[in-house]
Amino acid sequence: MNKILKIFSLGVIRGLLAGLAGAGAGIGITMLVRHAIGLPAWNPGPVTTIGIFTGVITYLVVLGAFNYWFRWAIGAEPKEAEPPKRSWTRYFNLDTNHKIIGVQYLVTALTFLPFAVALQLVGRLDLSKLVSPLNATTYESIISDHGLLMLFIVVLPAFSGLMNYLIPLLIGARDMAFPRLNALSYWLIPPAGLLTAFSLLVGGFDTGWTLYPPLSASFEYIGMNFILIGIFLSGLSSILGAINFLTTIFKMRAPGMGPFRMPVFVWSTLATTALTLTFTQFIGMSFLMVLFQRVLGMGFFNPQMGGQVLLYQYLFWFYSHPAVYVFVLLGLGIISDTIPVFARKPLFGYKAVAISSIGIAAGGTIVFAHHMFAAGIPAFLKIPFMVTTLLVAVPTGVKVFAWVATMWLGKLRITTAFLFVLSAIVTFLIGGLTGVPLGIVPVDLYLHDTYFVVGHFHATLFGGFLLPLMAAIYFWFPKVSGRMLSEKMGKMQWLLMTVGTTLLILPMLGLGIEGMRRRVFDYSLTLGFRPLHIATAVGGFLIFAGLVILAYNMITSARRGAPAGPNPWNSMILAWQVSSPPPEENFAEIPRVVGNPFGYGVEGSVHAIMSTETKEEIKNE
Amino acid sequence: MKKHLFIVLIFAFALAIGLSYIFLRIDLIPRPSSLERQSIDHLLKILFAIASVIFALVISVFVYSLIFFRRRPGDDKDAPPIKGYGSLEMAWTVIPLIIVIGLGAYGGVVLNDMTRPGPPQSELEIDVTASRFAWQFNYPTYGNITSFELELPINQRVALYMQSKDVVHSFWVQEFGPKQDVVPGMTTQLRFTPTEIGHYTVQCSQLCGYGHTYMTAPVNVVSLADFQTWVQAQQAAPSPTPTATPSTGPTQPSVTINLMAMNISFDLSIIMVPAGASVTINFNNMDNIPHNFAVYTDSSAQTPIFRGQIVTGPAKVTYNFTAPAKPGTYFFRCDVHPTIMTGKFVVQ
Repeated sequence: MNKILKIFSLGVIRGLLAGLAGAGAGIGITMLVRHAIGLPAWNPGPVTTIGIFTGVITYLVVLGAFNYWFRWAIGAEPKEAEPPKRSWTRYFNLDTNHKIIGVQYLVTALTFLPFAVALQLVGRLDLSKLVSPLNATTYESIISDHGLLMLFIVVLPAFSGLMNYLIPLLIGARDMAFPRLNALSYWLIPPAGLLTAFSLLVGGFDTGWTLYPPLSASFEYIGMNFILIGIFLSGLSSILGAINFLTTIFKMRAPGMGPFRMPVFVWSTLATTALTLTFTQFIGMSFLMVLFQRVLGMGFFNPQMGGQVLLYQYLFWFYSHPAVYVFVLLGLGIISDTIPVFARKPLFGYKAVAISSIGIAAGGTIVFAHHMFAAGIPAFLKIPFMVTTLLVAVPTGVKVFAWVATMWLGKLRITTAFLFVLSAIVTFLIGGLTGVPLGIVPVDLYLHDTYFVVGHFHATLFGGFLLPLMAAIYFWFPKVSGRMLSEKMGKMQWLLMTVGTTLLILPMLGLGIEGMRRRVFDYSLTLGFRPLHIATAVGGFLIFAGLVILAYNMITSARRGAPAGPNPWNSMILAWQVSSPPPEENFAEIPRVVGNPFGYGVEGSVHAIMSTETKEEIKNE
Repeated sequence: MKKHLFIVLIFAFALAIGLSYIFLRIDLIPRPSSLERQSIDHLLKILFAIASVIFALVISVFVYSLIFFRRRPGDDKDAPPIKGYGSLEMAWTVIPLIIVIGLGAYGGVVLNDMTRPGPPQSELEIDVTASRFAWQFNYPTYGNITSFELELPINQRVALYMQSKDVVHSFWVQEFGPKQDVVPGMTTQLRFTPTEIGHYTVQCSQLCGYGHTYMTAPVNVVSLADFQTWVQAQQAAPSPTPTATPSTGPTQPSVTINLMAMNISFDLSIIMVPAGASVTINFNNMDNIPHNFAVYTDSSAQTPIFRGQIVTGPAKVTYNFTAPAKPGTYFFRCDVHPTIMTGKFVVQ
């Protein structure tokens, strides 16, 4: 009995139960008020919307996310945090240590990842016409939810997790600048994820992940409200995270850690979070406007009420184009940091690679209208946006060329992490090259809304997110857990996922060129699309199998893997100079940075001096 | 060092030539049937050829490094510390810059040619109305003929003026090339010149709800003479109303059929009636979109036997008409969704 009750001492259980109760209370009170003022008590739109908001707020309060600020606001002495214990329960409670939060983020993302992939596998089976067809609404809801879950509940939190864990370790800080804000931004993710996933059970939404009104505003199912609020919460979480990362990077670098001594991942974080902080409010606002139009009848996007249909698309892409750079820049950072370690060579053209992150981010802010070439934007806008879109290819090219040049004449150590990096480079290269035809307006008018776009997008996200994430997991798992992942299983997973990626992406590109529309659940067999759809489905299943192997590998290796030691890869980066897993506050003494982190092969090159005992300066050049 | 570079460049050069030759030779996109598609196909070939040169360069160095620059067993030393090479970095920044600006300029020129409105009277103007989940075409220059099929004369530039009644749709005929969204509250335009006689399909390519997949309409590109004939036939034809002949004899059999339209399909795919029977169709349109029931002599749907009035659901309507006296297999469909709501009308 006691053991069962003990589960309620976990913050996450308490919070979620309280959240449900809060939602119930919100719904009850709203219905009472509606009844009192003579409206029909039950109207799913407004009632559930208020219920969701009260539920989320109750959940955060019970979890303790606001405790410190409450005490501070009423003038009470803020409670001193108890000295933390090393215990698995920390991961299920509100905790302010950046490494705990990083793992929480990553595990949450990796939990939703197979679910989001599995959703699409159902859709792939349908398109390959191997099983009886889904109905249209189910199919469209599944693919829409796959997109939103992947982008906002898997990609963003997974990268937030990596940034959380790594940034303080890479720049020589003891924690993030705002640890309590950090905890709050993580704990927004579970409700966001649950709302997005459960939207399917309350009717779904057949609008695609872009949620274009008037369709999304007029659609009667309440799954749409779940989605709008869920993604809004995820966006809020990334804005809070971005403030934190920017402050940490600007203010908390170890002495001597100048801009050109930072690992490329830190540069990528800088670029990413600057974009997040600047643009996320646009998607938050556009989703709230759709919600208000649905629930309160405000006609933002309704021409009959003076609204503007294209306004939503402008607002949406104003965020969502920069967002795709948010989705991939960190992956490119991972690639840039991993190659030198395994090639045993300095990163070729480090400064150019570092600055190209900023170049991609800056360029990415002024290309958003290229999603709307076919939407009816004024003709004179198309050519400038075409040119800016193509210009982004230049800094992206700089990165790819530099990676290959780093491998040239290197001494390559073929580990699983490096294999994933290699697959990522080729996949990203295909993603980049297929982006150029989409940027050229006349060709885009043909390819827009076909599978070519789907293939291009998946190529960039596999090359910029999924495969680099796998590389990062194999690279950083020893640091996090103190144990190595099994290389044998890792290579098996790599093979499955590489073949899977190829089978997934190339047929998609081919389908698009042949004229297969996206977001349709049926097609005529006479068009010859079926073999390519079957190949795509097979690719999807191989990738899923790879994820299963990864899960098994992580669980078994965390218990029985070979001990890693502080620096199994022989890397120069600061994080690898401390024990694995790192101490509670990372560095007993803040290190002094004296050189860049890629001085492999340079005689006497040192990135940082870890202890004050070695006073003498060591030259890096 | 020099030997490595020489081999890899030779390999990259051969691969680049091979790949771009393939892309320039094959017809990437199937069935080009308009002037616009020809420009798009041409442009795409050039883009793929350039892409394959870059791909070949990167992939050759990549594969070569993987094969020849692996760590030898027992070698724990680091590799030579090459930190960068200024002029090479400059080259791979500036050359792509020039390429993309050139491509942008060329793309702009092609775009202007494709979308520039022609002189007045030179274009066939057609008003397109999109609604969930049907296309309707209106020919203002030919006495406002209204049709659910898009009939076009060959080699005549067409200008579509498109409006949506409900949500965002997109007009796309794969063989004609460009697509254009149809946005509520504004009129969007699309221009193209069909160059091949044949049957095509308009496909909605902006997700518009559960019926999006089937939001299609037939397109017929015909000779100018055939187009004139079609126009005259349309102008002469009465609007879709019952064209039944009155019953002729007391012994005529009669039959009542319940037909339902739901999720853009009929619940029956075969309807069987006795020859010459008086047919009553109790038509139940469960969708909140327009449907009807129409019988034709065959699936080309040129000669109507009966065309029921179009009703927007949810609604019920009763159609009465006389079945053909001659036994055989005829064709029925919904005029609003002629490509997907079809069936056999069998007279016994």
